[in-house]
Amino acid sequence: MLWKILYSPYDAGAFLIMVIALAAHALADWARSRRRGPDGQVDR
Amino acid sequence: MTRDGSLSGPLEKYLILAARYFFGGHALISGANHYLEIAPDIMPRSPEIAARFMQVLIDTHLYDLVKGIEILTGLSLLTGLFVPVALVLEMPVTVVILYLSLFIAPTARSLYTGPRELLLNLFLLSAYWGYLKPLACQPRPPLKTLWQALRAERPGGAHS
Repeated sequence: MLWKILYSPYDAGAFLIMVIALAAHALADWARSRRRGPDGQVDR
Repeated sequence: MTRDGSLSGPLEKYLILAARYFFGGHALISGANHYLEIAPDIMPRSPEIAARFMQVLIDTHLYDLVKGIEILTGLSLLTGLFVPVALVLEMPVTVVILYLSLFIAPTARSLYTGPRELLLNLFLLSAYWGYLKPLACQPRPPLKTLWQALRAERPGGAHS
């Protein structure tokens, strides 16, 4: 019963999009933080 | 909140991003599915007044417009472009969905999805409140017309 209330194909698709987009965002944040030195400046 | 006004921590930032991506993804799928017909449409078909309401929306092509707004909102929230405008644009759609879900065609699922739609829209509007405050907190705003702004932006300014 609870599953029928919570689940729909739209929700499943939206959840999948959310997970992928969040992972991409987190990866981009991580890559940006790695390029910064200890003083917060971007390494060249 | 940090001294420069940015978000206080990664958790807050990612919570807002999660809401933005879920709401945007849902809007995009719902809008796109109307044109692509991948999954069955989830419009209410009972009681009869709800079915009639939906049929009038379809016959007058207003439903196409609503779904177009959902696609634009979804693209905006997923790309991060013009998010505050998209959230304001989506609000009338949200209110209609909520009203249908709670009062016209309530089901166990719609009693969950209707309020969820409103809460997500309001939460995201509050997350972008800084951009909306000038619109919402001026009871008697003076005129600032588009043509005045365009004239002022021209080389030489408003006095040319």
